[in-house]
Amino acid sequence: MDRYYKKRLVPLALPAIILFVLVIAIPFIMGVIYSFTGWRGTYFVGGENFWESFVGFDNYIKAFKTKKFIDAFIYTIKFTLVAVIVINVVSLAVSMLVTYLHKAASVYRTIYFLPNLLGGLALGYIWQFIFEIVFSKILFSEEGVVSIPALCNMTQDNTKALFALVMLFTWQMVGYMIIIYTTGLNNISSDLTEAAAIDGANAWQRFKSITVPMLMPSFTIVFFLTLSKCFMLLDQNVALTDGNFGTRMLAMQILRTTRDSSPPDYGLAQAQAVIFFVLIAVVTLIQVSVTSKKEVEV
Amino acid sequence: MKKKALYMILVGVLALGMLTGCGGSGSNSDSSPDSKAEEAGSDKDYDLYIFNTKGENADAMEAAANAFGAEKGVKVKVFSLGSGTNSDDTLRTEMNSNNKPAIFSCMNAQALVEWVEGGFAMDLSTAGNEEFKELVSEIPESFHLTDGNANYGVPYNVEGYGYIVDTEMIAALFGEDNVDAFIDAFKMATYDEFESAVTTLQAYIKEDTAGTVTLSGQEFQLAAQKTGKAANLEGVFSVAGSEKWTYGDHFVNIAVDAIFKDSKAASEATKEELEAGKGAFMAYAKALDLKTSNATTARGPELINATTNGYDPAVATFAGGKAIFMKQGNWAYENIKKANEDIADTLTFLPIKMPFTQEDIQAEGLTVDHMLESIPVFVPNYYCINDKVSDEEKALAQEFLVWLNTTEEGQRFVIEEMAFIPYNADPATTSAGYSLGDSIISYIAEEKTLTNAYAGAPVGWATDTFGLHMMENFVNTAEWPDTAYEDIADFTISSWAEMAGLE
Repeated sequence: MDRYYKKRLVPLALPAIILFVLVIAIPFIMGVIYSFTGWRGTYFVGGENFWESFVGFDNYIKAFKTKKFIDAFIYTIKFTLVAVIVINVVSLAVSMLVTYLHKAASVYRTIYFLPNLLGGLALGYIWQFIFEIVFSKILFSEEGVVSIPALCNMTQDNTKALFALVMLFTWQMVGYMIIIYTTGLNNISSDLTEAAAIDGANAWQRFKSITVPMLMPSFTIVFFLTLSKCFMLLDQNVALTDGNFGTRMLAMQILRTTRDSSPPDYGLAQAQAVIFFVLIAVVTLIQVSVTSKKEVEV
Repeated sequence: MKKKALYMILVGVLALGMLTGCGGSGSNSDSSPDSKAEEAGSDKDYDLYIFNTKGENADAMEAAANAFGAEKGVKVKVFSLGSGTNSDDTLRTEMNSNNKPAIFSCMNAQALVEWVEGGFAMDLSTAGNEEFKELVSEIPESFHLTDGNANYGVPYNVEGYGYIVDTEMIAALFGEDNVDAFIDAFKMATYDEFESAVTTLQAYIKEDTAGTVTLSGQEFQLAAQKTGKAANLEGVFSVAGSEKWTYGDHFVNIAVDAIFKDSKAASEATKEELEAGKGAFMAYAKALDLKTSNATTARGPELINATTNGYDPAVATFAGGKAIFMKQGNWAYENIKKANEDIADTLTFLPIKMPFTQEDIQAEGLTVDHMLESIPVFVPNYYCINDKVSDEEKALAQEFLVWLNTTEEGQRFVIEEMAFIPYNADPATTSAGYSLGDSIISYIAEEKTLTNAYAGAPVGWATDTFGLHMMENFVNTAEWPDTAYEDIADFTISSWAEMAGLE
């Protein structure tokens, strides 16, 4: 097999490489170049071609001076912090439960996975209904089943909406993360836990000293996926709150920049996108190198 | 080490994907110079390309273009987007291609900047076609699409808005014989009369107290029992509370109209002019207070709930006879008809009233009475000619606009198929063919119209800044502080001034 691939490496890889270059690499490079120009979507300010329209770092300076961008930046980081912790705790807890329940484990996994198949916009509108009608009117209003003001009108407050988004996103993501965690948990040999139990380690000690270190490869992947997806959250943000009450996140801020300005400032939007890219790349690279260092080989 | 390299690639690829997915909307461009594009233009399979922004009249526009093409022996290509879709990005993509549209659309002077700066919009005074020149010269000045120097647009049509009311609802409330008298009296009534009428009606709806409404001195007795169409009433106004434009765009425009004579004047606003308009903005706040206090849904978090108080639910509330008034324009006609066909033929517009004093009105020549009795009538969209297409196609584009706006057949398509009110319509002889359209024509005939001055406010101010602020800080709270009117007026001025860069 190896020889087959080695011989035909170039023809086999070529279609993917061409696609990658055309659809991702070239637009990316053009995007970076445009972020240094006065690009307006259909023309360049100051000339026919982009090299006549260079503005240096003006777009980047402008991005950091835009209050909406800074607000979105902070809100995105707050959301990511909360969401990554919640998603990981919930999915790890559920996958441990599912692993201990040997019977019907795959049925549960399938059910938990279903929300992940729905598109972000559809999910956002479904949860808008849940927050606005089920939560605010039926369950937690003053006339409802139990009165919990904190769970009413969650989309109408900056902080509450953050948790509303976290709930929505946890519901969507947990199924996917469970699959990774259960695979990881199944790979931990029961010899280890049994030996520890005989030595007198209680459940918490076994979890802390055996499960967590052995699960590190899974943590690496799950943290990477949740971190990057939380930063990139867009559809759910648009559908659930549309950025009202200061809930605009970075991806949506980039999308809306061209509508906030006339003529549409695509150069500024592109500069924000490059900042966004650098932010995600730096954060995820640090995370991957930190967590993969803690992985233990058995 | 190998593993690490793999992760690095993984991170890199995913992150790259993100960036191009989110920010790359400008990257599908074709950077070949325009001169080259025209030389290579032989691959186009049409003689005239029209980019139509209004999805609602896609079929009608296609039919009109075909009729024109058959008459002149040319092939016309029409591109329309689905209704309600934002066409900006698609139009920009088309403008970047080799086959650019010859006729495209532009909403207002704010959107025009992009097309003038990019060299796309053609100054209509440079047109070669004599008939077209005449058509352009006959466009009333208030309907010009201008950057201050030249006129760039031929209006699509005119639209208007106000409080929509079902005349049969008035009949159920005040008796069949009093409908016309009530409508006339309402149009002339002062704000104080309007305010007490709203209070009386709300009490009638909530507590069954059949009182008397006084409008321009005439008394109208409410029916003792809520019967017929009035039986389901839940409030005086149906308010689309979760939509930011409900407070920001057309409603605040009434106050902006009192300060600036048109959108051009508004776009040149100075800080002093805005501050002088404080009284008008306070009048806006009072009128909004009255409206949201007497809506079918009580003011508070529930009023801005998107599931129960969005645009569609608000139309359904009004069409279902649960409210007497709804602020909307004639463009909502089809939606109202879809929600309840029975009321479609008996709808009419009443003016939106705000408590202006003559000192509040800064716009020259306007009086308190005119403000109370008029509805805004404005051009929602313009046809522009693309300066970057070939001269032959530009000439054809002019011919088409002349044909559409002056010939009998063209006008038939505009009025009957597109259900438009032509901007050059003679109110004495034109019929829109539906209730709300005819109501607008009657206001035009009586010269009781206002302009669309808010379109001159800074980009993104009306909906996303001012409308959002109102929704997040006032409409979501039942009790307004004593300083609310003052606060709203101050925010209006400061946010506008800040976004316009005035100091």
